[in-house]
Amino acid sequence: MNAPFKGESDLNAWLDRHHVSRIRTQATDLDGFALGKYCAREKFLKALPIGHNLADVSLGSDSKSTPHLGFWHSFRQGAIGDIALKPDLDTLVPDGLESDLGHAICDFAQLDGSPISLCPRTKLKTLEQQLADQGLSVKCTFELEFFLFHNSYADAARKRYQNLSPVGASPLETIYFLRDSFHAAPFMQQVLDRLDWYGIPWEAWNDENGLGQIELNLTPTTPTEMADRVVRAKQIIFETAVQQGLSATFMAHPQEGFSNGMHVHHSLLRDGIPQFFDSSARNRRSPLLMNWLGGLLSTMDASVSYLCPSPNSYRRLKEFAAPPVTATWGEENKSTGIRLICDAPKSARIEHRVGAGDLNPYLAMAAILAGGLVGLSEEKPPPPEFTDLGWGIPDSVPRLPSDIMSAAKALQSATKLKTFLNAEDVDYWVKSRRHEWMLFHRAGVDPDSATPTQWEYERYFATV
Amino acid sequence: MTDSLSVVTQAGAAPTETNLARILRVNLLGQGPKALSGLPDRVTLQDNKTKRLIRLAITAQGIVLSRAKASSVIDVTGNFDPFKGSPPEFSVRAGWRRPLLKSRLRALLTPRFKPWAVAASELFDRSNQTKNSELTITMRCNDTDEQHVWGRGSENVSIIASQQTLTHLFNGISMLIDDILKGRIQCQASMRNIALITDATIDQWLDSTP
Repeated sequence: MNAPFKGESDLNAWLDRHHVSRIRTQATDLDGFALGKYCAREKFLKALPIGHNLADVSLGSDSKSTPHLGFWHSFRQGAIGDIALKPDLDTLVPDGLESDLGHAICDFAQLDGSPISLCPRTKLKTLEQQLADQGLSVKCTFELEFFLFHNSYADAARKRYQNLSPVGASPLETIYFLRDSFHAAPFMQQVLDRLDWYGIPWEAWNDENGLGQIELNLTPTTPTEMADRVVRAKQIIFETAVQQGLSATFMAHPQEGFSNGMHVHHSLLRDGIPQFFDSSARNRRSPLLMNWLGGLLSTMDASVSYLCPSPNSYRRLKEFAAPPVTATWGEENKSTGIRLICDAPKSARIEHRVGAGDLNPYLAMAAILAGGLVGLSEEKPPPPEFTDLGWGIPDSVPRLPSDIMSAAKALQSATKLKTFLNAEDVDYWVKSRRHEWMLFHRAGVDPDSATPTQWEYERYFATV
Repeated sequence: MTDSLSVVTQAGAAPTETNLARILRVNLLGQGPKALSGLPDRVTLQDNKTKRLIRLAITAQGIVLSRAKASSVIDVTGNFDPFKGSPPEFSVRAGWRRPLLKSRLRALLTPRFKPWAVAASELFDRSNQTKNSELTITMRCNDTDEQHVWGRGSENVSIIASQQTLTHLFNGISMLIDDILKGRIQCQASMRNIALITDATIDQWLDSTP
């Protein structure tokens, strides 16, 4: 019987019962990459509760594992040392496919086990705690979009990521098209089986608009647990693609015309009761909802840096291309930065539509919660609801940052947001985006090209 | 009058543009409004490496840099790659028959350097990364044996390089970490202190020093 360790107390008994002799540790770095080791059971147990060591630059490296040499964070050591991957035993699950393998999600921690605030997972837990201190909790989910190709990763690289063969029946750019879905069904069935084994509930999947594009919807839960599920689901999708000789990519903009987004739905609860819907309030929108919205909107420019982390992310933010381009909101408006759904107490929620497919779910959710907290602290309502289409509108409506450096600058100057996210951590993130931007330009690529550059494919196709 | 001259880049500017903007700004400050007199309204540069076109829109108020259309007539070609660690090398269009304007344009695009020790002190004094630091930075030129010390902190940093390398580094043409990795500079310091100084040099290189 498959069951996570969560709720049990005897770890050895659980490992015996599930025949687990190896545990794969997994932590998420700033760029959203899953890092970790395969540990023998004895090594894993011996290293508890702090966890095994790894080089401190693993949290201070870019998406090619090049150490950040041009800026500094206080968690790092002067001559390169070690930090720890501290397992969260509540996340320990059996693999389901490999009979003796277990998985544990970890936080980057100091060697004495103390937290490192820069760690994305630790950061999100801190934000959840700040809300808990106000008696609030969050329920959220992410929409995962990715492209699936018949080409293996090696083949895709050989073809320089050009003219790949999308999984699907139709050369038309359809959506919800069941004949396309049927082509992807064997792949998705294995993905869903593994999600079930991991204890990751899902709601639906469907053919999306781009050729070979699929959307997967996970069942809502608390922010850190949801981000854990997202990184695990992405890893499962990658591994299933490898096993079936296919390739899947979460690159934000892998081809002209279509992009991968990662919309974030969330709502606030107090004592388990949803707080956004208020039948006695104007338009049934509670004061808490309006303050929360006010914070999300006033910090949206700054949060774009976390929601769109790579140069490739910004190829997605184009007028009439489906993603939003303005810091606006509207009820049942999918062209604005935030879509509000407020028709019933239990389903009332915010859909934050700015996020790109390559975002780090821990940091993106942390930035959203921090924006909401700004709103609660200021009690400032949002700008007027936007009821028109949010594209092609006059320049008098300010656009979201359209490149990685503009977004980083907006974040750098977002004093209020930084108080919730920790100024040193934000500064480090901003420098890491500057680093990514410099690497992009160092490669001599054309930032104005209509299609992704080779540098983007090589850096992001198989990694994000 | 000079103070009112501005050099502006647009949103989404590439490092080539921000780096060039700083060179132009320093030169405008040094030369004053005469640096722009007689120049055409628009000058188009092409970088040989990326083939990218940059437009300088010249007005009495200063210069606005932006990316030019592919159909633009190219006035200046050269290597404007800011990552190469040395100043731009360029030539002005041969068909441009006004020697005075050619020389003005050359003067505008050619970086003016302060002596490295002066530039280093100014950089470290104004940098957020180093101005309140515990560093003592000892810099030595291995061509001339000239030595300059900045700061009185408890943590020592030693930087040794040629006069040209030090001049380029502290005048915003290169970045410390690039010079170390390419073997142009010997630097003995902790990783933290190398990062702090590199950060300061990148800010200057990017024209974003506060």
